[in-house]
Amino acid sequence: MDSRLDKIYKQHGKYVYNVALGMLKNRDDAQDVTQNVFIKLFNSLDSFRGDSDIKTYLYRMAINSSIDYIRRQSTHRDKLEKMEPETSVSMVDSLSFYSLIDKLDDDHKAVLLLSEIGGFKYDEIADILQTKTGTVKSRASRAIVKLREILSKEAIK
Amino acid sequence: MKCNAIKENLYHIGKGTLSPFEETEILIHLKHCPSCAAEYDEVNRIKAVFRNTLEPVPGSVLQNIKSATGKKQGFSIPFLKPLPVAAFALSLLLILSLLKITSAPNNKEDELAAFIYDSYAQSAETYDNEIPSNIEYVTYAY
Ligand SMILES: [Zn+2]
Repeated sequence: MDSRLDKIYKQHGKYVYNVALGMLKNRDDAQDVTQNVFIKLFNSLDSFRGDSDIKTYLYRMAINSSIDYIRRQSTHRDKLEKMEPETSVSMVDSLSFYSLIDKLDDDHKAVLLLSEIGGFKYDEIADILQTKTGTVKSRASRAIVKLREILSKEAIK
Repeated sequence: MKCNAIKENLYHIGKGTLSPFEETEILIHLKHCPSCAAEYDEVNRIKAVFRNTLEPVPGSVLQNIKSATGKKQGFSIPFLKPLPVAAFALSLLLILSLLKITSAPNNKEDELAAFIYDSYAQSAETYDNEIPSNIEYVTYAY
């Protein structure tokens, strides 16, 4: 494998995979998205000037490819069952991040995943999602409020 | 900032939208307000779920990337890279040509020629000596 791509994969592979996993909640699909993102990156690697451009491209591709997957699969959703069972939100410590955000809209999921897994600031997330920083901030606020509600409801049960 | 404003901004700390002054104000508030501090703990618990439950990427992903990107680079044998092979061949040619220039002139052919000449001369002499003097040359008439 190209040494530059190898370095980028070592640096970002795990996080790109987990962002896709958070969006899709399915390991096979997340693997497909991850490998396609890196193969596409390889094909256009020479056109990137800096590492930050590559990082933006990787996560934008991960989010967009995941959303494409969700759209394509939504046409078959009536026929297909989800491949992975729902994890019950009983204890926060045994909860995986993708089960925690399962009830959120894709827009809110994407912001939280990029913020918490990608470690991006809001202006960087806005760049990745090609939206405004203010929009990212309000989505993050709503996502956190929703997650707090989910967790407090589970605590009462 | 009042408690509601503090709580609304707890998740935004470190995300680049609050000024350093606002962040400091929130952090000072948290030290004195148990309600907001409890809320901050909850936000941090949510963050910890992300941090602690990330999954490793299955090895097959890297294998698939390698096989897909390897094809694009064309066929190559790792231990037979074109440049080193060319350099080796060139230096071999150079060494051989230097050897030819610096080595002494080859006398083998001269030696061989002298040997053949001597042998011929010697045998001619022997035969000459062996021919009996009383034998006459016979001419056959057909
Ligand atoms: Zn307070």
